[in-house]
Amino acid sequence: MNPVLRTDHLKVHHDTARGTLKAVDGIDLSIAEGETLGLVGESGCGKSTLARCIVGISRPTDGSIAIQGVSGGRGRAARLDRAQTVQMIFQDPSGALNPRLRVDRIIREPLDVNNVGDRSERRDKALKIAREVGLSDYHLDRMPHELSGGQRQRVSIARALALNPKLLVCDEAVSALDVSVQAQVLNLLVDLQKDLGLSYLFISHDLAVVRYVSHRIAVMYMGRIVEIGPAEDVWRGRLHPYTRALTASIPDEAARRDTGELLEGDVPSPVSPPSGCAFRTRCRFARQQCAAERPELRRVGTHEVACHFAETISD
Amino acid sequence: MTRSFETLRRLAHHPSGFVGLMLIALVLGMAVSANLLFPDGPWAMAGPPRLAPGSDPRFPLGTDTFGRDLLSAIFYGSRVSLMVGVSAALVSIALGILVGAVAGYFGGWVDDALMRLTDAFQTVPNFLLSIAIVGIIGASLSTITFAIAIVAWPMIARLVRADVLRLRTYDFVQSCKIIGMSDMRIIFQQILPNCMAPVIVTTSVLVANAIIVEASLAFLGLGDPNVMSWGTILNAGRQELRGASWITISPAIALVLTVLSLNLIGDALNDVLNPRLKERT
Repeated sequence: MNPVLRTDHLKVHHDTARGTLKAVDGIDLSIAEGETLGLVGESGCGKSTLARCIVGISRPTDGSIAIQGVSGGRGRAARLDRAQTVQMIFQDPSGALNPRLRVDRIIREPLDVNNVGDRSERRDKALKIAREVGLSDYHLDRMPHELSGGQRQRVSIARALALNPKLLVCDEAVSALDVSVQAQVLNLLVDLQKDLGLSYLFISHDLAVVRYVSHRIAVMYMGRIVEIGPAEDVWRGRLHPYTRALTASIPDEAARRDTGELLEGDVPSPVSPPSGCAFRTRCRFARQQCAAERPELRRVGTHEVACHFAETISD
Repeated sequence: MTRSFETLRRLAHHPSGFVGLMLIALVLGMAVSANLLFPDGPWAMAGPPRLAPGSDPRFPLGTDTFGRDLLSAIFYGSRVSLMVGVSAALVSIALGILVGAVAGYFGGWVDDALMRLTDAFQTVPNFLLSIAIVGIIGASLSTITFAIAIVAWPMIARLVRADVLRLRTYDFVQSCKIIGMSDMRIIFQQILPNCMAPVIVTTSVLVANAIIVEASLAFLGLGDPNVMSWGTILNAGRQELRGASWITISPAIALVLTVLSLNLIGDALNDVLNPRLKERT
């Protein structure tokens, strides 16, 4: 069976005044039907650029994206086709809704644009979806600014689901919400996945959240995936020094025992990345070979990792 | 609809907005009632020439060198001023919004090309360009309107472009692309309604400016010879400035009050449409 999403050697390079910025530098991913792939990494590592490519609002420099086995084209027809299969939920729920439109119109818009059914069918469909995401008729007559952050994010989710997509890209979808509301929205996403067979690309910098919703986790550093595998294996059997540092940065007792792994320094400039392994400048295990040769993803146990010394440094 | 009514209500409660609205209502009333009060028209030689204001109750503002009733001329002139002012403003707004929105939304070479064109228009002195255009294609109400609009749109284009540049990065615009909406629909239905506030404020200033330019053109003898405008009266009274200054004073006052009222409305609109000041009015 075709995966819902497959990217091959996906690259997004921007030409800047100081040189080529490699925001996304060769990413191979696939997401199966009904699966959640969690994507973690520091800000600026290319997570959002990758997301924008997948939903079609940025164009890859090289490589390909296939959604349900179909690579999208450029034109208007491709934009409409893509809309039926992949949708996105944004970080800031207030910026993601047009402040001048009523909630029912916002949810109905995807149906209007894609000419689904007639007027009354579209209205019924919007109402049905709104109820599925936990909004009542009362909310439909409101303006976005009259709703709370959690309710706005539910409106975003309803809008994204209106066209029955197969894949939802959630770019920091709960990061801007209160912790209690985060849990509600996460549970809603998990429930919707069960009911509708959705696949998620769940992007976040919050490892705990990603671990909670994901089947598999991919760790991204400077435009490349450094570790990918089943969620609990990546979490407990972390191999890449960067993954170890990320988990060590979570303030909880179990992680604190891994002392001395906290990250120091900043992410190097993506315009002139270090030679060889991009992480070597911040890695306490770095050796000669790391500067000379860029590690490729290779299978180690149940997951894949891009580190020359993944086996030897594991504790 | 309720939103624009609400704006109007708040405008009327704003002190300078209220004065501006009253004044402009007065000018509008003059324009509407001109042919009812003065059925003979502004060109009729109704009385003795150079009659001073107040000396004959039939001519409260006196008469000009040809014995034409100045009050009647002022009334008919308000029609020309308002019509030219409003239509020139509308044309330049339509043009400016189109250019600014397309430039800001698409960016890249489209933006560069359109903004260089805008620069080109802004480097030529506005009034001189208007004079040249009217001088070349001849003076009529429509050519004057065109000549005023063609020099005024760059300001609107820059204003709209800046706002569209800001709004196009918003997630709701990205979301519209993701649901498959066409670029034109995104621009006109999603982005533009969110950047109308500064355009509306500028409109009142634009109308005022158009009225001044029309009067200036008429004053220089470049007005439509078939219509009585305030500039036409100014032009006629120019030679009599020493002997019969009232001929130039009354249309000048009418001009000042009209332009003032539009500026007052612009100021008030700025306050009323500013969401941060909502509580104050």
